[in-house]
Amino acid sequence: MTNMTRLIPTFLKERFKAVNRLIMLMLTAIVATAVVQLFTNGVSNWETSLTGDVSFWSGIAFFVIFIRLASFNEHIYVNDAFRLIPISDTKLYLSSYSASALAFLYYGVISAVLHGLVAFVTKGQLQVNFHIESSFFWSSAPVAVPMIIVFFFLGLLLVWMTISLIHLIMVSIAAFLPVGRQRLIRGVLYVVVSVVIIRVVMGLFQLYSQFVMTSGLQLNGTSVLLAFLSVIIVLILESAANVLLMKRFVETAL
Amino acid sequence: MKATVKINQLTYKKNLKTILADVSLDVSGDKIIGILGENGAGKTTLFRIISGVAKNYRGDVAINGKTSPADRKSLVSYSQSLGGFPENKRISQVANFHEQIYPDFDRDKYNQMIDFLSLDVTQRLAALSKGTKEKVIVALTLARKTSVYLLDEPFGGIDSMSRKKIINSIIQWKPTDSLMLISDHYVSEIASILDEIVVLKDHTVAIHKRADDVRQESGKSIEDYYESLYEEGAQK
Repeated sequence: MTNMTRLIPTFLKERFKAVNRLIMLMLTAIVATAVVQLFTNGVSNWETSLTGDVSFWSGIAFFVIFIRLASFNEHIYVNDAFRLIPISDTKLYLSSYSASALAFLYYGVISAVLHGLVAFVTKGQLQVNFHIESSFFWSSAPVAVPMIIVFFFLGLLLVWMTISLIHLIMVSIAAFLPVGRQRLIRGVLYVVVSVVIIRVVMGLFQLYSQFVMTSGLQLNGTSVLLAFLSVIIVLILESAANVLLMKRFVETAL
Repeated sequence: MKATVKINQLTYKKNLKTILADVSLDVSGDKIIGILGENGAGKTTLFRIISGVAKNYRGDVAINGKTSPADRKSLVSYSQSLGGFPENKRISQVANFHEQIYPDFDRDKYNQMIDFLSLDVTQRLAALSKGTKEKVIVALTLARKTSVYLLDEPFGGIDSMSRKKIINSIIQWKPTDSLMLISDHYVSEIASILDEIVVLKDHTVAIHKRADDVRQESGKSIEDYYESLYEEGAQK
């Protein structure tokens, strides 16, 4: 049997390669844009331009990496190369998500370092920003920043797992459809299943917010904890559904 | 331990079509068994169910008494099509992946087979001919140390020299205590190495006999006997 400690590094290798390639492209784009702006606008506003360029290109990279890692996750469910690995479907699923989350964390660290470097180089910009918001920032940062990061990652996993749920439901249904007109029926079903799943997830969060409103909770420790808890419960429910579909219905493409 | 594959009342449907119906099969020992049948007879589906990648079937499948798909995957080496790998991957990268994920992958054995089959491991998958791809698949499949090997149509559409090379590597590198199932519809290629034949016809097992018994009882070669089954069916 293959264990997760063997599988996660193998999955990570491919994901790191893809993320590194996109980081290189992002850096190239930042440098190219900065050079062009230096020639067209001169040196007077270069700090503002550079900060803007880094934010813009890292935002694009964020989006592309998010999609790329999602496609890695989905690829695993329907390919013999991965589904033949002697490991349970639950462990295969968890290994894939662990590798994707770590790869995204890696991009997050690189992106933070890049923003830090730019803030250091364009010292004036950084001082202005910090001066304006310093009192709030220094008082709440030690608690707020880790919380925002954790919440951000939970949100990321939630979107990935929702995509997986839609994909796996569709693959499962496709096995029961007649061979003819598959594309048309699948197209319609994709829209219907996507709308239903997204509405169910949104409904769960609405229920939660109603609960918060009626119980009169404000943005304090308890309500934040409940928010975390609600996301985690949805993640567990979606994961259970995904693994069940993998075990019972989802086959690899021939 | 003697390798065994036991299938009991297996039925599988997909896209509202019956692929396998009430299939029961019990094979064991260190044999090479030919799973024969025309295109669409259900040979690949049978292998996919045995190896644990096909779902939603009725009936029981056990390898060495183990029924869970994860256990079966660890006991079976199935010749996958390499379709899950990007076309720009090199043979060496695919082998590295196999080495990382399969604890039973034998690198030395794999290297010996690569030399024997004269494969250039720096070649990318996109550049491989059908025959070369089949050789890579056979090398990767046999490089694992498992109880059961499933070779799904390893000779499909390839030249006679490559076929001979693949048959020779099967004879040379099949572990002595393992069971091997080879599916094909070109019987002449593999008839000489088969211990038993299983013919899939009309969604189920039509014949399961020892190869020697077939030759003795019918007085025909395996190939002629197999073809006569279809001729009889056509006359009815």
